[in-house]
Amino acid sequence: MGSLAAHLHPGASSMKLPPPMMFALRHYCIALTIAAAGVCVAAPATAAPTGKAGVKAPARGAKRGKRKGFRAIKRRSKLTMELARKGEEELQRSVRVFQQRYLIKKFRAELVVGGATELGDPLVHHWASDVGLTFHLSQRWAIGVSGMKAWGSRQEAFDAVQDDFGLFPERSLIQAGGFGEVQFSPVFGKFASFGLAVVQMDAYLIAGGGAVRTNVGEELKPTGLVGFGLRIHALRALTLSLEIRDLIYQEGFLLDRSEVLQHVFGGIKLGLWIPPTFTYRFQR
Amino acid sequence: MTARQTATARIPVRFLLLAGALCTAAVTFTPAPAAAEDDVLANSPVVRRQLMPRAGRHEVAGLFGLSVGDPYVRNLLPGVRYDWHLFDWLAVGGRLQFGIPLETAMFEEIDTKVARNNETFEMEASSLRFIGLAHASVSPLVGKLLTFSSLPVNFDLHFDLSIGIVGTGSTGTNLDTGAGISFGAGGGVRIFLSRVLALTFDLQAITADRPLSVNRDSKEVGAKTRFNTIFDVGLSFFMPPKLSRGD
Repeated sequence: MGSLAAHLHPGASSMKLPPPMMFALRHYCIALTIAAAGVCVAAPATAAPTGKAGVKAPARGAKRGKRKGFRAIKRRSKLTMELARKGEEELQRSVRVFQQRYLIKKFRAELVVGGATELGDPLVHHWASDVGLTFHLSQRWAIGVSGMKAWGSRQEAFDAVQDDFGLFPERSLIQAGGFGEVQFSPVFGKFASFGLAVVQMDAYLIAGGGAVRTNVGEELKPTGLVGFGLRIHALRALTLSLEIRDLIYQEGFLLDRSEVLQHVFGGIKLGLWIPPTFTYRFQR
Repeated sequence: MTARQTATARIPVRFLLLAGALCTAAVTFTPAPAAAEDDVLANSPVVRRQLMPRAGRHEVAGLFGLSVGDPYVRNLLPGVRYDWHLFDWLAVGGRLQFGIPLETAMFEEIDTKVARNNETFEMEASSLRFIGLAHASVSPLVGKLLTFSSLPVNFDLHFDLSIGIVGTGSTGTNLDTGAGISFGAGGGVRIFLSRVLALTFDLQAITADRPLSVNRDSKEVGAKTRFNTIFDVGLSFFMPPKLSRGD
């Protein structure tokens, strides 16, 4: 049995076949054998008029017997083919190939480098670069630290509020920040592009906290962090992540006014995995 | 040829069948060398019997959109979208959305603070009245997800290019309103809840000629072609309900 499994799935010789496949395979072989044996048994019947009686049968009877025997063989041959075809189909249906996870995350560290841009704020805009180190406690949970350097600028609407209305928008520009974070990956999946390749991925949620420094005041502002991301398992030592992160902090302005400010960043990150290789617990 | 001779002549056929069955059994039950195993799946397609939940189907979606990054007026954009999926990866269709303007906190603040120095001032900003676009949509990435290791769902990532008409409006009377040609681009994800139902999340950017607002003298400023970013959530119905599969 193991050899068929090996034919269907290279390297699967040690794999135990599932019961439906065993069933289909057994019936396929039995059907073929019985049908062939049936042909062997049926064939002498065609020679009975001559062999059994020991005398030459009339020509018409011999022809009729010959045709009958030929039809019986043809019918059984057809039946054999039909059984073989059904067995083959059943076999194909019963084969289930379970892919190994392409990327094992458990007890591996991910060194993350990337960039991000701010999304959706009509008044200010930031570009940012990120560096982080994430340690994966399991396939689902991870903890990490990250730092960012940001470059902010005012948008057209910011100047319009100042110039057209004589008002000053209460927005600050982020200069840098540092965060601790927890990741949770509830979603795992794969995708293909025009049937060229199948790539695995996982989606994760991020929550954490830290501090940012802005262009208003010298002190660090405590900051909350939430977000989500999609990690594409490009190589076993390299991943590509698309992330949305929302930074929320309280900023103080003139006249002791304070505002809760929010900056949403969309970014792309490269993850370099340490150690770069791993060994599966169960080899294929 | 006598009947005996005929029967004799058929013996090799029977033996052939028996031999075939025995050979099949032998191949089945005998371990194959490891070297031969490596070639079995060589040159075979990467994806087999792929489920094609879009191919040849019609998709009608109810949309709820929200403009992103508008400083003064946020536009809620309910509407409908239709897609005819010519192939699993290509669709053509259109969308129609109507705008409901909502003034932002900044709008209110400007209105209040500027009116302290100019009593005749009334804040006014432009909005999106309607969007009518035809589009072509490509789905280059299709796959499936497993949530909490138990709930499998199919999904795709798609990208749209669109052209059509966008109507602009105003919260007051001092800004020009009208309609103009618009170009757009966008993309999103479609998550299949069942054979006929899917959730869609899209981000699209469309052009519209419009000013942002009036100034403190209630005169129009800054009219130009702007990109308007809209986030859409939709619930899609697919017809017919039957799905097709690839080879």
